[in-house]
Amino acid sequence: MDPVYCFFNPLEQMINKAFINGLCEALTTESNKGEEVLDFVFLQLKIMPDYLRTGIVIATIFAQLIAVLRFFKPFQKINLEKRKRILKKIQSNNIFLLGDLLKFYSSLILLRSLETYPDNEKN
Amino acid sequence: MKKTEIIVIGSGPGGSLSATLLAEAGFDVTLIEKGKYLRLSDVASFSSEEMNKKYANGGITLAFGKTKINYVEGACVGGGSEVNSGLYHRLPESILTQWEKENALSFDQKLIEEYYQNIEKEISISLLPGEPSKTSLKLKDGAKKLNWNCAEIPRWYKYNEDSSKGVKQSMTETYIPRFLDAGGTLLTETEVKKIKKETVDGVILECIEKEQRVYDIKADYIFLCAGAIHSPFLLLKSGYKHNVGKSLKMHPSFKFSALFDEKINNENAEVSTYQVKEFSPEISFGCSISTPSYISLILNDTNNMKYLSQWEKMAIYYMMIMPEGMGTISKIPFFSSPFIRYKLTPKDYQNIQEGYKKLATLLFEAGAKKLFPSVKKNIVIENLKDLEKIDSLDKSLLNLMTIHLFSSLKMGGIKKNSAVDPNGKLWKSNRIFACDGSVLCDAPSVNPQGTIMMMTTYVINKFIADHK
Repeated sequence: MDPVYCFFNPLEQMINKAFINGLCEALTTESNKGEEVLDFVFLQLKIMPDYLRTGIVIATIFAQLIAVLRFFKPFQKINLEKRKRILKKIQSNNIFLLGDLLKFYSSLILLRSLETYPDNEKN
Repeated sequence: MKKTEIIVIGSGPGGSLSATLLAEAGFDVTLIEKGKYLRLSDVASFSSEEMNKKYANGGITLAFGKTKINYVEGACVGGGSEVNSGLYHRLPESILTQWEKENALSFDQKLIEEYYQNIEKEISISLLPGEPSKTSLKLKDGAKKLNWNCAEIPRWYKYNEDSSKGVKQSMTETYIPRFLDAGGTLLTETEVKKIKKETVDGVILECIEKEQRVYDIKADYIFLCAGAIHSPFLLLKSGYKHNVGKSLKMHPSFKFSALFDEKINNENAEVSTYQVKEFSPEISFGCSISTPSYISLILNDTNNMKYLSQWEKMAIYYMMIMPEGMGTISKIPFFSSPFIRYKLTPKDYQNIQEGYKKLATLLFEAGAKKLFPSVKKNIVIENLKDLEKIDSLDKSLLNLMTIHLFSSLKMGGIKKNSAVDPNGKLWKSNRIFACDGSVLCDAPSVNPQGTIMMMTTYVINKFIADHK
């Protein structure tokens, strides 16, 4: 296992499960896309190129930092509109490609959500 | 230490064909594949599960540059042939002539014709027996109104006599069973970490199995068939540098999700088999996989998810260019994945711009009401004038992607300009050959599997003639 992954792995475990739930809600109209979507995103995180994975972990931390500093709560605990605003801000600034990486992240969730719960979005 | 006569690394079209021809010629061949052995029916085509199980890095792979380009590669037994649409082209003659001229190569035309015919028979190249999909018909209608050349492209498909449903003749359906029948050894979920040592009597590779067991394996000859990214990357990790990974080419493509008045799409829609070649080789058009989830990705990028409920009236169309620019593959310290850079030239951007304008013209002629471009901005195109919104965008906001990668170990007759010689052998080695998309001299301007298989047959038959 590469050293970078070993370093970021504990952070991934701590942050991402809750964060992905929050991101799912901010991205789609449904409140929770369930364990299957979460598991899929984790599987993808494990196999994506290591430098992109590191970037995604940094993007996660960045979103959490904004949430905690501005709203005194973790990203997943603040209300939907504020979460959407944070995502929009990160994506529009695209510092260190974080916007692109979050887009990747959200695309993964969207792809799996639509396949798992097709009727929620299509109709 | 395990020993074998020949190791083939990678089991895509180049690797499976190489391994089969060599095993059938009587060599002791071991085929090593990093991915899993999954049959076509094990995973739904074009699903997120397929991305996860059959694509390199789960399909999340990116070439960096002013405009980032998403690229995808197959990473399972059968490689790209398991995940692509199965569209087949021969290399255009004009392109082959250009390759010969620019790279001091000379191919025997009679042999090439013979190889193509064999390949086409073995993977059942055929046209769709029934009616084309409605998405194909839209492309055809638009091209007809503009008097542009649009044709059906054959696929490697075996159709039942009484229906248009068929089975894709991917490597797991064709060459892999033949390879195993010929006595070849297939090692799956095994990664070659590096080429450890090249000695006077062979090459030693360091491999790692899925249980993380590391072992060495020795062979007389190595055939690199891990694709245009991983073949050169393995060489770079092993200290081979001469023209390795410096001339990567691809076919960047730009997409529109087009909304029509009537239903043209459904859950079981067939792959579109028509392509517009009026502006080929520089620019080509076709229809992409248009599942609701793929459509949603474009709509999500342009913040137009509200249109997803109309997905049955939508399909994704692409325009693809033959680029002038090229890319590099490199290893970055502390990271184990290859890092890809790709530089598009002003002419490439001009072709992209011209390409999306022409594609939009065709789609509006075909009856499209709205076009959603693959850009990172909320843009809807309702008429040709609206295309200025894309023209004025910063280039970093274009979403380009490709599934065609090649030329990172370019073949040539002049050592200074190429990585492998006309026999497919690495200039800097006596025992390492390459047989995949990486040896192509340039972008072929068409779906590359036919060209890869022809070049592979060429290299392997020369090797067999010289070594048996």
